[in-house]
Amino acid sequence: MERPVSSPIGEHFLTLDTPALIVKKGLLRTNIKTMMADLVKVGINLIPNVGTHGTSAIARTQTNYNTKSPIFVDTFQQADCFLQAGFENIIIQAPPVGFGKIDFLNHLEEFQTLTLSISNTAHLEGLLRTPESPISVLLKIPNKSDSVGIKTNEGLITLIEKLGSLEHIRFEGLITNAPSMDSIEQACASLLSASKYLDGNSTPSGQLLLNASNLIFEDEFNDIPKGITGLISGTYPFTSKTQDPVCSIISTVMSTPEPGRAYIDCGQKAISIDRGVPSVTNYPDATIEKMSAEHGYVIFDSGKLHLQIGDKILLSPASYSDTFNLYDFVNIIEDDKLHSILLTNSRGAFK
Amino acid sequence: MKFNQPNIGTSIADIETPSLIIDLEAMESNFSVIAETYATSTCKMRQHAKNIKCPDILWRQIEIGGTLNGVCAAKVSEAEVMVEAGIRDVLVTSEIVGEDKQKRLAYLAKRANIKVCIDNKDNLIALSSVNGSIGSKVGVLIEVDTSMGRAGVRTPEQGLELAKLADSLESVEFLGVMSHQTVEGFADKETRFLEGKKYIDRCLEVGKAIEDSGIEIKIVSSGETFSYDVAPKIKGVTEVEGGTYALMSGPTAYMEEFSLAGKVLTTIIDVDESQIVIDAGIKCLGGPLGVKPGIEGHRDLTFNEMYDCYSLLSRKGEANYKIGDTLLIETSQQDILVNRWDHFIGLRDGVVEVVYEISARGCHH
Repeated sequence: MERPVSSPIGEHFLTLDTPALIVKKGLLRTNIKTMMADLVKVGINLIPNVGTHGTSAIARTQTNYNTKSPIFVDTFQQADCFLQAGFENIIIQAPPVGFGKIDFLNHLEEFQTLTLSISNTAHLEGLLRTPESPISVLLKIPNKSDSVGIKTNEGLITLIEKLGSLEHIRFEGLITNAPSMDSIEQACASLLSASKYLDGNSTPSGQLLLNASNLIFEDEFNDIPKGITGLISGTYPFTSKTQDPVCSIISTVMSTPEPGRAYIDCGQKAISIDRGVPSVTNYPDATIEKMSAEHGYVIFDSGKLHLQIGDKILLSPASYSDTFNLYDFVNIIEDDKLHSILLTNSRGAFK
Repeated sequence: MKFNQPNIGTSIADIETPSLIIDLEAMESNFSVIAETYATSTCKMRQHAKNIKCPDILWRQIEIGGTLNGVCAAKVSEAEVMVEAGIRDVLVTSEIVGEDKQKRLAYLAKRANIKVCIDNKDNLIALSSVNGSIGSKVGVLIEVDTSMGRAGVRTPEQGLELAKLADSLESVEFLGVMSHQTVEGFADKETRFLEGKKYIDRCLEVGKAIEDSGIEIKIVSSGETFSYDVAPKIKGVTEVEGGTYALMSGPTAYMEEFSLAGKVLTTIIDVDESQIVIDAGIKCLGGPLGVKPGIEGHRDLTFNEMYDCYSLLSRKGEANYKIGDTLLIETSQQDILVNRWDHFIGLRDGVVEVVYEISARGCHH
């Protein structure tokens, strides 16, 4: 577990022990509120993917703007963490494969509502072993870049018919993933095509959910075709719509071995580079050259910038989800001061 | 919590996935290679804690042999975990900056034999001042950059200047020099020996300049897994900072004397004619900039896409994969991966023998 030197609430954020994960409270709230309002305008429900940050307090801020909204997580263990934090309506991306997951479903409380995403009869067979637990099911439709899902319309009908024969299972709708901006159009088309086929067979398709964290901005929502009922997104609270970054890692220069080079105390164990190296946000003339496990290599024009040992470097991660997964705590900053420290409840909940 | 770790005696077939497992026999074999290599050498292994972050496992190497009964740590907080677990000799292989962290280190030095790397005069003076203020004394080694372009002095002259200053300060003890280096790609034994010696000689060169000035060099800490058998043959090297060898990983598989001991157990959650989907993704595996792991015993499967909590694998051939089947993932970035997990499941003959807590996970301060 992380072991920072504790800073008192109210301290300036640059005094935090580094490397430290920080989130600016005001910008976070603005992003959450704006995204919600923008989607209401186009008639689409926003479902927060809270697996991105794994932090129940941030998830609560997200659902406060729509108290009826479920939250979305990737794994059963993440769902367990959020159920314990008091959330009662959760969609799980992973299918019910494995005895531990089935056992988990058999021990739900009456007031807890779980919706699972499945894509074949083998997944359904797992649910036959949970006869006492009322569970909702979304059927996964594949898109161009994601092979997970029910491949044929006939397969879709077959699964829905089987679902209809199970009293404790409720068919909720269709879901598809769009992991990149390029795949969104195809993903929407796949969902609408499947829905049209079901309508033609007198089978209501229910909700049509698009899992696409890349969609952030209002003008992008206008391109979502009519018929899509919900957007699942995880990155919108942290994606900066201004120059001021919402989420950063603070690091410290710990060696300046040559002109134009600084070595910082933040490496791959404290900021993910799985989807690209981070950018330096407080020194425009500095960039990250590469990162080792423990440290980062900063390069800069020594004619323009003079970095010294002890200087603070703010890094913007290429992936929020992967980076939150490396921290036990999130430091919430307001007016440049430490406002509160939140636990990342579901960090490491991979099962 | 409903997803507890498995009980001792549980079969591998009943372990919930994904789980990080250790093949205990393979790990102990790796430890025995070290014990045999260093058995008659004055140079000893100082195992690096940053790779496995688990004091219980570091203790196993100390028990099996070949070490100087101490370890390396990358950060102060990692060193604290090691001292709390009873390891009394720790070398922190990074420069430590800031009064708060230097104070933690100084207090740790009251409880154990603590050494730290330096490469800058101002930082050294600050370190001595903090130690002096609390009546503590920490050992210092000058880091020498031999090839990696990161922290460390660049020339013997820089090293000598720093050594003279360290030798003159009351609250630090100057001990010697250290370096870390790497070799790219697949390296045969001859390459390892040539490259390893070339780099380590650069570190020794700085040590010699210091010694020639009349300042004693007690420690030359250099070498790592790829040079574990090179360094002890080089006169003057007193200890080696190996870490990867304990569990090994795909990119270092060219060292055939070591076995891959750390793997991730995963389950197939979906399957079609061309792909399978497994329940392990980037969050538990890591995959920095496209480095992807392999699947043990299944060369027909290759990682295609990795998402947060699942991955798509391309399949070739006629193997009959079913939902619920389990696979073992060979790790590609060992210490990046281990830092994401809270426990190792130790298996022998397919049965859980021990569950290790990775107590220094997340210790990046």
